[in-house]
Amino acid sequence: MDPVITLDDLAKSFGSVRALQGLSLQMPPGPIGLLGPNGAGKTTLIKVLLGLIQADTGRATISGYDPSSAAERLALRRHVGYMPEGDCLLPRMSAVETVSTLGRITGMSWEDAMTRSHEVLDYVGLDESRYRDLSEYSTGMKQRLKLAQALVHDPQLLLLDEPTNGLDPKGRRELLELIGDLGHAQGKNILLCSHLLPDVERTCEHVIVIHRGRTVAQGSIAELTTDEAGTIRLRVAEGPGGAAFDRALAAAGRRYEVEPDGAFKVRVADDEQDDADELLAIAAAAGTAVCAVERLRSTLDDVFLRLLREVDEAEAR
Amino acid sequence: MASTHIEVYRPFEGELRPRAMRFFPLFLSQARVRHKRKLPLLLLYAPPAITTIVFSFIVYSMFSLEAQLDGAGGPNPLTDPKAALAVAMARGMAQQLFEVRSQVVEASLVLQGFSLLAIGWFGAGLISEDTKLGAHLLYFSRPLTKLDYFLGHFLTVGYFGLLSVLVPTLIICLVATFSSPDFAFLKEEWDVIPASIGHALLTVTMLSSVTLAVSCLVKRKAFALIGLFGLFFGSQVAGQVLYAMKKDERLMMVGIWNHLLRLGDWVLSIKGRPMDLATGQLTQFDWSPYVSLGVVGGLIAVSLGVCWLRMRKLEGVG
Repeated sequence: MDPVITLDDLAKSFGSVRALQGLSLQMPPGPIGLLGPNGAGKTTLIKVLLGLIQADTGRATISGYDPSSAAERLALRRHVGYMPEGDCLLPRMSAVETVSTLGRITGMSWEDAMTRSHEVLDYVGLDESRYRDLSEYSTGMKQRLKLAQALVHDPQLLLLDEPTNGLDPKGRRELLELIGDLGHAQGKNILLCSHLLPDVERTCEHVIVIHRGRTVAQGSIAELTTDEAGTIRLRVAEGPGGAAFDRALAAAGRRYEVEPDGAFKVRVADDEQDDADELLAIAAAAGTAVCAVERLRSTLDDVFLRLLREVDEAEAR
Repeated sequence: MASTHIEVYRPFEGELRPRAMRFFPLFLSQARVRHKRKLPLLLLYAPPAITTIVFSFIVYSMFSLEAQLDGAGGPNPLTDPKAALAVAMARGMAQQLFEVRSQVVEASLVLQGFSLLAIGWFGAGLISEDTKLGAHLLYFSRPLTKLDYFLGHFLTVGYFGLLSVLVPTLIICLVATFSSPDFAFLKEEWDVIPASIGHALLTVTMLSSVTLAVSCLVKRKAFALIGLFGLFFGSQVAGQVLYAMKKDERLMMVGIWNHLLRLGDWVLSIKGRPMDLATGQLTQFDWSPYVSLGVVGGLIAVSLGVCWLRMRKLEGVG
């Protein structure tokens, strides 16, 4: 499948701040999570993709359009829906007026814009409140409105910048359900920018991790979280048994490490399904009582933090 | 289907058409929204409406009196004392009234003042509120350029300005045209119509540009209003104070509004016909209109420059 977004050595600086530093990636179709801590360059990347700011060097292509070209930029924006971070409202307008106005600016006829506004507002769950003064809207309603305006022209690609910011757990869950529905049932390509990993895990199968303006990792969540597959953690009873088990593992030629709390993380071959039994036998032979055994798998959280740490350490060196 | 509600997502089956005038939907929406609140419209447009009615009545009266004087079939003023009295009154009234053209010119100058109020009220919040609420992020993620965004707002504020200065003037011209025998006003004094349009456009362009520039620089409409009226009234007061101190009429040039008045005199008195029969002067200002043209043009240029710089900022970093 052709990538939806292709970035090639994209760089952008604001004075001495280098927001993007040679960012290269290919975004496959479907819902993709763009992960990065605050200040990683996510919002800058979105603005470059929309042609709102120009990259200093490098090249970006979105659905075949070049956002750095003035002519293509306008055509590109007809195919992309953008949900900005933070509050964004059109002054003095109701939800219907906001969505229909933006629909008309995107190129819809008056009738289409009105019909479509009601459809997308229904879809995001803003029912009667669509005529209310927007100053009375809760954060959750504002987020839904922002999603509705991004959907009004039915774009194939959605750029969602921190869509769950400021939402309570219920509102967050509902918005993520909508995003999940758009990504999976409606077949939209979604770039979901967030620093909230559970949001991304819930809605996306692929992630791109950026940090300090560079791509740190890219791939499916399943791929990224397999690095600790084939690791077993054993907790042993306090006392001399720990040292004996340590010696026994070393004598058996096992790859392992002792965690600060005294637990042993032992690497096993990926295809060794019954390796825990072997480790328990080694422990028994060493006279060590094992309290707990667990097979390990990294969470996205673990992977994310490890990647950031590695980048920071590499830069410090 | 998301489980939070019962609605399904419906794909859009219409067509997205590229527009030549991309700013137009923005202008229409802004204008429509500002028409929703009736009280500001009533308060701001009642004075121009009253002015229009008064001047239209004066113009109509003049022509109807002339028609009575010139008309055949009426009572003969030489033989009928009542008719003679009516003629005398009519002539007295006619002497009190300026020519129709002068009425139109005077109406334009009066209406110029109301345009500042209308443009200030409807334009001061346009960009400042967008900035405050983050609306520019939504606009600029659409097929809308900086120029489109500016034009959409400029047309909105210009529309409300023209409603207060140009429309009333044209109505008065229309009354004059249809009241005059054989459309004499249109035949003889047609040049006052393009002059009025030019004057209105110049006034509205200048006021709209300055208003949008001030609106660009702040995040609250109230601050923009204070800045706008402070600029005009402040400069007027400064000009008056300097004039009072130095007794030099050229110091009145400090007042920005005085330049608009001077240009109004210049543009509207196309035939050099004085409006004030006693003094032969349209206003008290006698400096070269080109100086005022330069000041007004400079203000427009500076305002557009400020707007352009701010648009770049809003589009890019916002």
